[in-house]
Amino acid sequence: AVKDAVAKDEVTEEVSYSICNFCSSLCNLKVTSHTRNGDKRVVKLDGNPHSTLNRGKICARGQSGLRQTYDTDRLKTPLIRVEGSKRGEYAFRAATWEEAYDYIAQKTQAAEIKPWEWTMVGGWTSCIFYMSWAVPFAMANEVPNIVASPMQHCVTTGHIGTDLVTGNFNIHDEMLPDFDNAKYILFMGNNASIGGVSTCRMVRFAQGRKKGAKIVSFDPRRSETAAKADEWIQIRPGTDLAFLLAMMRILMEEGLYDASFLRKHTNMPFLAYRDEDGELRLLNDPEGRPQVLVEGTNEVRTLKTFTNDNNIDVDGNAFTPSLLTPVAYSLDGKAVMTVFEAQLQELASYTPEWAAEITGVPAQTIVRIAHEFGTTRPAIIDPGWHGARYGSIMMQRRVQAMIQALTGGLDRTGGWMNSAEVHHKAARMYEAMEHGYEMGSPLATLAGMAFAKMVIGALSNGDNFSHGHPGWAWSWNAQEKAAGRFNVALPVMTESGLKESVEGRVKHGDEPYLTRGFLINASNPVRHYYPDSRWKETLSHENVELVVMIEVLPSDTAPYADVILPNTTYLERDEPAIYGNGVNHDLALTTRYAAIPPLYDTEETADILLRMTEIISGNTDVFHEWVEKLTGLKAEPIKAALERNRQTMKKGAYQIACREVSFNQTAERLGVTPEHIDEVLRAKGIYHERDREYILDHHAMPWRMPVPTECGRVEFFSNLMRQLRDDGHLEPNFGVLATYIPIKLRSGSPQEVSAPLAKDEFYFTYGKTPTVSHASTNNNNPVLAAINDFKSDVYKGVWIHPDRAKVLGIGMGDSIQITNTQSGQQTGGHAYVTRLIHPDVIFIYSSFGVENKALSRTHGDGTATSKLIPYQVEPVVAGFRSQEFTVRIARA
Amino acid sequence: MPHFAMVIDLNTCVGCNACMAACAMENQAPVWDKDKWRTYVHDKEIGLGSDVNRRFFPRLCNHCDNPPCMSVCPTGATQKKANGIVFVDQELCMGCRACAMACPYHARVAITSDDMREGREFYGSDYRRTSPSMDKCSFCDHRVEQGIKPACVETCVGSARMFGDLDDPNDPVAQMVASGAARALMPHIGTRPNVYYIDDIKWRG
Repeated sequence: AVKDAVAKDEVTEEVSYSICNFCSSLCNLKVTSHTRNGDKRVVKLDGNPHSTLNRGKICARGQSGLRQTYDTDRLKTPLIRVEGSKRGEYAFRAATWEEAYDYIAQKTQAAEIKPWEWTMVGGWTSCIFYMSWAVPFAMANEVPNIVASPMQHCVTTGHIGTDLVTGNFNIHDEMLPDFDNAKYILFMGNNASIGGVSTCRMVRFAQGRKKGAKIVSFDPRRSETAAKADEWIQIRPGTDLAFLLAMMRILMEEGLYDASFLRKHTNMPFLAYRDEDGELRLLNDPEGRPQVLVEGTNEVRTLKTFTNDNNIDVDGNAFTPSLLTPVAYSLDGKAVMTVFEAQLQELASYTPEWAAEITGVPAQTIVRIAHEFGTTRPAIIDPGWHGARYGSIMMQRRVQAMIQALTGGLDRTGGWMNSAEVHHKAARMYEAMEHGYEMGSPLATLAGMAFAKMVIGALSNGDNFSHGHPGWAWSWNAQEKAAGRFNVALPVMTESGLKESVEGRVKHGDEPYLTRGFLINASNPVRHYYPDSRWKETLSHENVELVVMIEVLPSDTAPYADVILPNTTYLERDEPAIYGNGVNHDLALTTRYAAIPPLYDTEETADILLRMTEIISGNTDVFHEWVEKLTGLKAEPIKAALERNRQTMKKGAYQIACREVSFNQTAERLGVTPEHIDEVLRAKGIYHERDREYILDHHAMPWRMPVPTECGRVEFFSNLMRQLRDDGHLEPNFGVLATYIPIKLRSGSPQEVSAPLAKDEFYFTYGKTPTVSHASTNNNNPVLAAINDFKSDVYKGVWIHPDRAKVLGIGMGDSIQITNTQSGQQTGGHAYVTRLIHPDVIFIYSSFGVENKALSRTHGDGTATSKLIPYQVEPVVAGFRSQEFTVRIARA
Repeated sequence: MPHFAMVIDLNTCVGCNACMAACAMENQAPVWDKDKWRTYVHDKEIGLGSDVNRRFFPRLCNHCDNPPCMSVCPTGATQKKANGIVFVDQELCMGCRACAMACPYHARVAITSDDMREGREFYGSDYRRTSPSMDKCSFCDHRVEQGIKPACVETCVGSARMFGDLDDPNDPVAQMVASGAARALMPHIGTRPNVYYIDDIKWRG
């Protein structure tokens, strides 16, 4: 509502809509601004009341977000590192945009940086909002190297585990469980999505709790989530998988599962056998189609390769597939079993007593929780947020998904729910498959594992580029594999091999495969990645000729840049496209509207990428083509709009051109005018397409259509893991079924977890505060910084149990020294002595430890996780084993 | 005339501090001082031995029906509206801090002239305060008058904070208070507070 401002000093209030930028929940925002004497300011943010995603609410970060825009520490002009200074010193001079671009161009030409010698580093905000420009940028400029900070931390390490079962691999990826309607909710260590806080999850969880759901939290620490649990079970760190396997064994052995769901919609009834090497394989027919037994008979039926319905064979006959085979059953001379039976065999030794020994949770508690969960419907085991931590996390997430699938609780009231966007994409993808037409624009249309495979295919294969180089991550890991050393099977958008590439140790043919240029966008690898010293050395290396950074605030990585290009904040810009509504169960469209014009001499990411294309390859036409090819936004109209915009706009001309085309094409799809969409989005911030009921009625997976896995069913037997094993990856991490993966908390003995700790030795854990996005710069936000100061003891201290602290002579607030027992890394902190932590464990929030003094409100606060966590990754996707060690604590 | 009250369900307060941030932005709090909050959330461990709980406990002005802060105010700056809201008239307050000492709920902060200088810088042309004064939660009376809920209630991610009218028997907040499910802090001191809490801990034994 706009009031008339007549008198001097009168305030005009305006409301506009946007999307929050502080975590991947993508909450819808209502933005209130006031204009007084011609000065327009954003004065308040709220959850968008029209949003069914976050239901009119936003967390502390969301509420404080406007103060990022007004942060006096912001990057206000382009900056060029002062001649004669070293990377790391943070000595910059202000420059104009032309000067900054000229500097980049001259350096690129003088040093002859080849396309493959560039590496892009992207943070999660750039991943979500700018993937549609960053990937075409990479393809057009033939840059095969993208390091994306969500991958090794969350997306691949954690979610791939879930995705292997449910097939849902998406930009926003995670399921949004229907906490509202669950009667039993089990958390395995995860705090980030409830206490951390993801508003769309917490609003639902709160309603579930109000309605009386029983909440159980396994966590060594009384996290924010555990504080809301009816039962807090102090499990030993890193042992969740052992508990889950014992639980899965109980559920399967005692029949506490939805048998008709498993028969019809999963690959549990598929026949399988062990080959001469003991490898489990599906007993497919010569055409590669799965086979099953008819319930109660020895009759074998063949099923379609890709379908969601095992109750109809390839000839169209209805029947009931069996989960069990007769005793000593064999076929074609092979001992044959169902996947169900093979899984049960695999679980045989994972008894409650076995798990009790590892987890420190009594066997009778394990049995009781399994029974409670198995006999309550609907029940949710929280899928988890943030992967990393241990080499077993991917498997843990997989087993969680399997346990959820045992209840049949997928796309069902009170269970896990895929987002409407995933349903929508999958439905269109299946339609295309059925009619045999090419979909094109895979970034916009591919759903689930097909999308993941497309991303892997693009960067892992040198044939996709005229220079023949695949990403260095793929070269490095192939090289290590050939040499018989540790290597990573799917180093998708990881930094695995980056340091080696910078140092000249990666080879392409006989030539060194060097990395000499960096384009870092909205990422803070010095804090996001481990350890910080590795990234400081990498970026400071003499082989690195140029580091370009796109940022809003001077992060701890900023000192390592040569050129910093300041970005607008999310409140100052119209985004280049219309987006889906995140993990919402309802299908809706949304976008950002600029609430105020940019405060400083900043530029839009899409425009920067276009200009960088001019500099790196000059292939701007190819860039437009790739945007069309990958996202569907048509090149010709974008070019025309860009030309037109350039007549009147100095900045953001390309971004607005993309937006215009995005509105036009969306309008065409919906059969309305772009003006209509604009009108609705301006009035409500949300363009509602379909509600959840419609989506579930038509597209529930696997009830109404296949899940986007390899075989269309929910996968207990992993087809992807089968392929990776056949490629020679035989570590337990590549199990085709749910299995135990030992972790290495301490070097040496195989029973490290149960062996007693030295009196100054602790397991290391970390987690998120609800006020700071993981390792981000919003600890410098003045409102959040004030809250963090108010809660300084809890948030910035190192949590330690009083019984252990006392022995070490450590009291509340004392300075302490923390030493990694495996790597020797050391850092300091202050003790927060509390009984809310397992006596064998220390905990720190990952929100602090900023070093750059240019972040004036937070530098010097707390303890940085990236100073303690060593470089160690697991072999599937290079996920960080960021808690797989112990530390020694001493008074400082 | 309504009689406004707040009920806080501790069962769904997850300690996210969204209320603190929402209040600060709505009411232009002096966030440069970490101790000057109109509302804040305690994060405490309670219980004996290993029977230990972590409790988040939101605090704010209790808008007492018998407000000690009002009794001691020498200038009449602290007043109570007919709808139950206790407020401070900035112009009348001389900053003597008597109210802060009298308040048993630690719900008062002092906005000094230094804070005002800082505030003009920080909140720019939108800064609304006209003089230094003691400050406290106003139940967002400027919003309530327009029929919208206080900023902290509106954004409470766990819907722990609820706002309503005790004189409306159909209002869920009134019902929670009437049923005894929601209880006031220190009722024995006779302040007759209008902020109520629903307990989150099932005490054993």
